[in-house]
Amino acid sequence: MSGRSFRNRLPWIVFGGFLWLATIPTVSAVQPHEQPEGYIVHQLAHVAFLLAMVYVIWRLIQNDQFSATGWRDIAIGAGLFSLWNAITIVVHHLVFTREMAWVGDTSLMVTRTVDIATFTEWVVYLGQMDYIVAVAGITMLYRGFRRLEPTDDPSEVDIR
Amino acid sequence: MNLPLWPIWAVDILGALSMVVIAILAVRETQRLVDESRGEVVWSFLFWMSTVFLVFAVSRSFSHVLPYLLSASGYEGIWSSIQPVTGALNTLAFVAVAAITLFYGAVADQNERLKSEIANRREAERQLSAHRDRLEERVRERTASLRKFRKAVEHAGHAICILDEDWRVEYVNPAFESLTGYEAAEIQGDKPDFIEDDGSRDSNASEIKETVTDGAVWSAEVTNHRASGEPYPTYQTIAPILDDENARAYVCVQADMSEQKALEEDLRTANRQLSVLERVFRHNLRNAMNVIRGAATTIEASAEGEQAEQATKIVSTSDSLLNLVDKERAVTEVLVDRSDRREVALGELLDDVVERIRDLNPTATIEVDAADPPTVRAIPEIGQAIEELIDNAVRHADAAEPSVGVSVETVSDAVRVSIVDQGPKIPSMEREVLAGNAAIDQLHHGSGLGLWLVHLIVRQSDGTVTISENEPPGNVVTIELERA
Repeated sequence: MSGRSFRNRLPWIVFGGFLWLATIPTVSAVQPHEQPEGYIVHQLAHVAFLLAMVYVIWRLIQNDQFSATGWRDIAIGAGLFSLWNAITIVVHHLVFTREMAWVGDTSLMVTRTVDIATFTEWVVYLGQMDYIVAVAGITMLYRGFRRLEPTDDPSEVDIR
Repeated sequence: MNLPLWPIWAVDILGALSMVVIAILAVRETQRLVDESRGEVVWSFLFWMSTVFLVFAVSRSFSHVLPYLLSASGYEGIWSSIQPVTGALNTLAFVAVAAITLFYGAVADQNERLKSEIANRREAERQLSAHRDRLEERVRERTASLRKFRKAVEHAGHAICILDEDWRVEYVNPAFESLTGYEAAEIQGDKPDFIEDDGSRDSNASEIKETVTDGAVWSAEVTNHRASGEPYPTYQTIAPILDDENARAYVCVQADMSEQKALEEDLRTANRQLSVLERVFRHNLRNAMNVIRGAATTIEASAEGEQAEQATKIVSTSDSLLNLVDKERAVTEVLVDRSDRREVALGELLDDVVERIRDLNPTATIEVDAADPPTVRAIPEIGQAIEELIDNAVRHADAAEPSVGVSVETVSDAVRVSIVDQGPKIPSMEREVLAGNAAIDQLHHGSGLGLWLVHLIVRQSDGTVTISENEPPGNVVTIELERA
């Protein structure tokens, strides 16, 4: 296997590794990990994700690439993912703290309706459709990647 | 308010599928960029970010779609074991996005610094290259100049020799080899004879070293020796080649004087022969003229009438010829026995000259206007010149009792002696001879030797003669000499 073909397959190998992890029934650890640790870790990960996206936008602005073809789409995508992270952080928080049992409850497939009474429930209801923002974000990223050319990097110096 | 859940389910299912599909496409696009790029880190960043987005899309799809599918198919119990893993993957993907972004941010910063350094280095290399090109150009020009200079030295008519700090021969040109008979390779590294003090009286070595080491140029007419031992006369110049006022080498130039010396010797011989011939001629002429004059005087005393007049003419002409012979002797002596300039006291000289002329010409009036005349630098014969001019003024005067004025004037470093008469204007040819405005030759010599003698004496005294007209009519002849 040549170096390049290995590198091409590396994402799939990593992805496969994650799938394999999913087959492990129990996880042993010296320190016990229980709720709300998972919630906090997940929220922190969202915050990190959000900050990373903001950082991407900041770098593009710093390098005067914000308005360049392709890079502008990527910046918009990063902005949408920042928004998505913000939405999900809020929704996760509301769901975790307000005990909204209907979220993710598959039994509701029978009733197919949910009773929304408060503003918070409205927010959670709408926030459940966060894929709209996420798909828009990944679409903008993809569009940006498509429009980029290897020569679009402003640097003229080849440092290989 | 009772709201339907299907919009949420629809968005979840469609969004999950779309996310996965678009994420896969995004990975392919970034893969393309990596493959086509020149190894820029930014493409690598986009590739890994899109990969993690794919992980995120897949893991989220599982958690958003699988529960419904499993519930619908009656296997919802499986979901409880998968849910933690998909959630963990989801969280990991978020962290990975942040980690990759920060990592590549740092790498990109480092990359920018490297690029900047490389750009600076390339600019420095470019400048260095340009500087090197300029330097090479200058070296080429300097080399060409040196080559031309070396050729000039090699083709110089004079013998040139370059000595190092220790007075050892570094270079000699072909003329030096030709003059001395030494081959360049033969004497390279040797000290030349003229720099070696052999203890003899003629050795100039010490004087040369002392003069040249002090930064001055030494030059003199010397006698060197060829390789064969044969002596040769040369005019030798030795100069230091200075570097920061220190002599780093010496250049010696020799002009061969052999031919000039031979010519000078020939000239001296010819002069001696002419001098002897002139003495013999003058002696014989004087004797003959004295005999003629004696006979004419006898006839003049005994004869009468026409014969007595003719005898008187013979006596007068004989006197003129004898006088001419005396002047010829004086001119010859000035020409042959050249005297050096020295200090001459003008006061005593004028007294002697004026007294002598007054004795010879009792009817003439000679007025001297010279209060405390200074000392001048002239050859000793300068008195003859002044006497000749005063005598000329007396003899050529129209009046029976001629009057001549002599004045001395000091102007700065010069002394002017003027002889003023009231006689006829000096003919133009005589004036030109006297002032030195015309070369003396067979066609241009004046009527007598007196003014010629004046011209020669003043010239050898480094002085000048000027002639102007006097008022009332007459001549003013001025000799200007250096004040001592």
